[in-house]
Amino acid sequence: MFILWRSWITFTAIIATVLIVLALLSSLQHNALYSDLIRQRLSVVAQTTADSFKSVVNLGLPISMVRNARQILERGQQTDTRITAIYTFNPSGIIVHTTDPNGPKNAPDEVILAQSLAETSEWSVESESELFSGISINNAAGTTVGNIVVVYPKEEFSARTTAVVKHIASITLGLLVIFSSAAFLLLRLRLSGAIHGLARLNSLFDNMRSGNGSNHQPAPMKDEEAVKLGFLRSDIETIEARLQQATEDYESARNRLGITDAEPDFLSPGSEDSDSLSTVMTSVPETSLARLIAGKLMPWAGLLIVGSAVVLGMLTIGTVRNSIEPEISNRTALMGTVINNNIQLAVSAGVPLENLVGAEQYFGSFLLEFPEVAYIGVATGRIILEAGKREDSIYGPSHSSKDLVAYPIKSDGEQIGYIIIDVDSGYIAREFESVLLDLAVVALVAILLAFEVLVVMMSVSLTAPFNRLQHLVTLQATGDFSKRVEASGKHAVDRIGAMLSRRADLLHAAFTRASATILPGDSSEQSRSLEEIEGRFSLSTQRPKLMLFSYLNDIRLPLFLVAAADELPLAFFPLFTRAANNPLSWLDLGVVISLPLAGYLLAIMAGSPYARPLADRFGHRKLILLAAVPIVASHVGLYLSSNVIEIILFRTLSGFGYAIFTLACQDYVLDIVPKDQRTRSLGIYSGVLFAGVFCGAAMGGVLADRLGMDTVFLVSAGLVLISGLLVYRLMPGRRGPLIAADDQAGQATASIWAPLRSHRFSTLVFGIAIPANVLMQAFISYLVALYLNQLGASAADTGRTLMVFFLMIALMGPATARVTDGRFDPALVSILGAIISGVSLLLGAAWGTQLGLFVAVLFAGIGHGMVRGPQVSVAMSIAETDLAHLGSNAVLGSLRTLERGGSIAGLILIALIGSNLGYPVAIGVVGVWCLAGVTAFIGSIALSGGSKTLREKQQS
Amino acid sequence: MKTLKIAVVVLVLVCSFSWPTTDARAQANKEFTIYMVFWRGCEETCAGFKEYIAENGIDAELVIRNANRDKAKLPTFVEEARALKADLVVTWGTSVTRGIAGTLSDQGDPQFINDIPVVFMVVADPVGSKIIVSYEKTGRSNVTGTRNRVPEAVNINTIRSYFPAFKRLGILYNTNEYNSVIKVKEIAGLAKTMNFELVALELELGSDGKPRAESIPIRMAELEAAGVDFIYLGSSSFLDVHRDIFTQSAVDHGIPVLSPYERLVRESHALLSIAARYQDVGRLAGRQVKSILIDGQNPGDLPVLSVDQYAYVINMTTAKKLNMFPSVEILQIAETVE
Repeated sequence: MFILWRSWITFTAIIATVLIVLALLSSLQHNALYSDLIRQRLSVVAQTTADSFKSVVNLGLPISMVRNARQILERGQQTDTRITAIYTFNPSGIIVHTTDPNGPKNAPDEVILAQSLAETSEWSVESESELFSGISINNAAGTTVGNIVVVYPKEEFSARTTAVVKHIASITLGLLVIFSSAAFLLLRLRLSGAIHGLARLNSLFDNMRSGNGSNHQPAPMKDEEAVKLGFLRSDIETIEARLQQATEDYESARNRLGITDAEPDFLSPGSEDSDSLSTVMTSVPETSLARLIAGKLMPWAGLLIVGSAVVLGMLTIGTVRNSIEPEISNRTALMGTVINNNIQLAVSAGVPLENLVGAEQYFGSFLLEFPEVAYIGVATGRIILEAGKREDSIYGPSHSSKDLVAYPIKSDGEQIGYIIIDVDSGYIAREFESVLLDLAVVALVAILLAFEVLVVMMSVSLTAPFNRLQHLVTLQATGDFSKRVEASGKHAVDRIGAMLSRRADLLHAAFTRASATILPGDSSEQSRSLEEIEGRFSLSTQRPKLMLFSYLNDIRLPLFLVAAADELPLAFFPLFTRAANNPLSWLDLGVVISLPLAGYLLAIMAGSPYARPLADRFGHRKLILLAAVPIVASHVGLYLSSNVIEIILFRTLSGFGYAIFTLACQDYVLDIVPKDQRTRSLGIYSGVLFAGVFCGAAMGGVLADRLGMDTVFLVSAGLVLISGLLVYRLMPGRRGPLIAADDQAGQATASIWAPLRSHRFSTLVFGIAIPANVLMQAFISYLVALYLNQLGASAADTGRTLMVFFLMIALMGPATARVTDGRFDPALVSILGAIISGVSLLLGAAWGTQLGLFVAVLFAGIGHGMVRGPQVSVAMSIAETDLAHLGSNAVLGSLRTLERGGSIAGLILIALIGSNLGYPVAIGVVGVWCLAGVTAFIGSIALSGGSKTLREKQQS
Repeated sequence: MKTLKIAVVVLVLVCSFSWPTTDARAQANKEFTIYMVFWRGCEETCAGFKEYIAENGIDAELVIRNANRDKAKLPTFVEEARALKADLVVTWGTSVTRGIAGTLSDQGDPQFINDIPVVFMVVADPVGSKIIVSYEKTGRSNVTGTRNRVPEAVNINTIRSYFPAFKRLGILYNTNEYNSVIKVKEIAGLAKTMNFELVALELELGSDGKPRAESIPIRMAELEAAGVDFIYLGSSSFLDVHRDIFTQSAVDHGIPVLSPYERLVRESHALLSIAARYQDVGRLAGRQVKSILIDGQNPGDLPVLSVDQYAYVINMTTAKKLNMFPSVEILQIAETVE
């Protein structure tokens, strides 16, 4: 039954992961959105009040000198009775006019900070207890002469968000129960065969334990019983057969060593010396049993993950919608009220309605300021004034009965006319679209995370025990008792494994005892007989070697978490740097803000060549754990930091740690995976890395918004700690001769220039690797954001475009690798990928619109995903052929350093081109660079006829 | 007969002795003596000043004199201030200030007060009138004051904000007031940089050297004939006093008036003003006085204080009559009166 429970726990864990992460993140999204909406509503009041004061500024008077300023502010306050106060403050933060004379004399710090960091004249901020929406008023020269702030209490906001969070939490809980139960039923049905198979193993085990002799063989299975085992049938039968064989060999060894039943089953002391316990790491071709189970369960797991995410997502959208819609209509109503008030003011002052001077101008500027209003009109029976376009659409937001909102205008107590406001339904639809997209991204993040967790749990909890058992029983069936496994579980699979290990231990102990009586040089029959036993049963005087298995999956989740942790702060890092104390005031501010990134890139470049030699020295596990330390330390440092210099230092440190960590993971993959699976595994590696980057990039902004920028650094540190813990627990750590490794370590002092003598390598570096990295650093990290900004895209759209790049690599990398591995030369795959990247960049540069750039980024992502894994594969194969004298360390070190160094140089070059010749030209240059490089690489391959050699080598 | 003569002499002697005695008694009771000279008598600035002095507990006797638009009286006030050993002299208006304190070149001239602190108020252009060097530093050790007018550029912008098509400005001025003359010069200078034309007409002076009210409508007709869009009062106490004739005439000829004196909008028929409250002006002068008498500061070290609250006021009745209504935008900041 254990398989049922194990699987069910695994499935419940991943369902819980998906649901909880999704619930958490979408709650945060909702709160961020709701806060933003309220502040946007308040900005209507702030904006219209500011417009009044702007008229004063346009006259040439300072705002402070308007005698009736307080009345102007109070008029604004009357539009919504819940507004706490409206005030103006001057550039030094002193409150000049206010509707609340008992309020503070100075504007709160967070308000002043938000205003100083704002890039436009409209800004808003949230504090513990209040929401602030502000407008900066600038004079003709563009200097800020004053600011208007509307203050709103947070009680309503807190009440609503708490209600929504509780609602989402209860839905999540409910879904968890439902899906978990469904999983149980599903597993019960699907795994009935497996359950029977394991029951069979259980009975085998009982037999072995009680019998301890070949004369107690269990009866072979009858057919009906065998059929019940379903998909596990042939494997169980094989295990059975091998167990039998192993037991026979064991008995035979026991006899020959003269162990009788009376002999106490103990291990002689002295062979417990832990130093001599050498571990063997094998690259694991998955045993058929493990593969079967994984293959059966994965699709269902995937279905549950996606299914639960979709259901929760849809329910959440409904909840979010219920929050948004009233707010949006509140905002529209407020606009109507404001316009009405101002028209009413004119009418009450004595201006005749038919002669409203400047009304159309006023409406016009209102329409510009608030794009969701499509039309404003004044009517007395017929329309006498209007601005904008009446919407003829019959589709309005479903909640409102009519698209039009009307406000009365009164004179002497009688209604003489009314104001009509028409809302742009397309605008609102686009707002909802934006919410949907954000939720979809959140769902993707949850799904990706859950998938990684699934892989780990499957591996640890389900397939690993089977692997251990199958390997050991296969060995012992051939009479090889030299290995043992650590198996501590309580179910049949582990217990059989433990028993078999114990048998090996006993044999070794007996052998040791027997050998102790033989003096060296003794060539008596006893000695020769012992030698024969030693050879036949692979015994020795030490303990049997512990078999530890290395899987690619060991590093998946840690890598994912670290990549996400590193990427989380990137969304707000420039802002964070700008807000910090800047002792480097003699430098241009733009340069100061880019220094942390520069330090980070330089640290990555500096650390790259050392990853492989350090891995050889310390072992992968230790190195990865060591690399995690500076990453955690630097993020804690960033949390505590207060000035720019500290920020630069810590970011640089984290870059160093990050480089070593990720490269050590890649080295682990390269070392444990057999060559024929290398490209595929590298593809998976890239996929996981970029899945993490995607999730970090997607979530950084909203986490910073709700938790504060500082706390996000702590979250990152926490993620890295968790990943370190996972590495500590899951990764086999002992150093020893690597079975699958077949290349030498090479010199520790890796000269990065030496490998360039091989023209295949140099064209790989300069033609494929460097352009690909330049694409990442210069195009994605730099040009795209700037060009989209120039084309008028919002920050959210820019973020999504960048994320699609990462997503494509995360999806396409492993997919293409899996498809092409073994069938195509990795060199060809990288050529194709580079061509796709280059062409899509040229396309994006030529197309010249937001959509064009989005498509270009998408295909560049696909192309890049196809290049990343195979390029390392090609480098490794070059290291094994042309550059075998230098060794893989030197080759990889050279590749990594040169590609990163080249990308930094490329970034600077492209930045220069971009600011002088324009962004489309710069994008085109990167595209041409990729294509030129690919051509050179093709040329070099054709010259050497190397592709054929490579393919041959691959197939051997 | 002899008894009567003696009685009269005794009476006169008693009277002439008692009067100064009460003064002396009064002087002996109060700590300070503030000597105030007004051009047209004690009005809102005076009231505001008194209010400030009372509120701040400044123990001062206020000796108030009215020049009644007669420059000839000013030298006598100078003498009296000296005789009374006034601690401070407050002057109202350009003419009074120039007559009491003199200009920059009159420093040291015994005709003018050089040793007693002088605080001026309601001086339209003290720099242009050569009373002080600059607003930040008066350049005269015993003189400081207050300013209460917006920069002229603001006035032009105000006209434009109300009437965007504005091209031609009209001004009436009287040469017996120095402030009036230099204000026209200042506006003429602005006309070039701010892209409008100026039509400035002088009001006829009568035989007494003072302008005649009858010439106002005549000039108004001339301004209308010249195609003036808007009239700016400039700086003229005469026009302020004859405000009703001035503004009514403007309305009759269909021309709106921008006045630097709020009173013309609130109480008369001017259309627009962007001005300070005179009461605020008086209070501000009081503040300067406090700095000098109580805080012991030197007038020459005090910058000229500016009133910091101005109001944009529109007379809606005039607007209706002229059929020139303010825009929705302006009405958000303006105060309206009927």
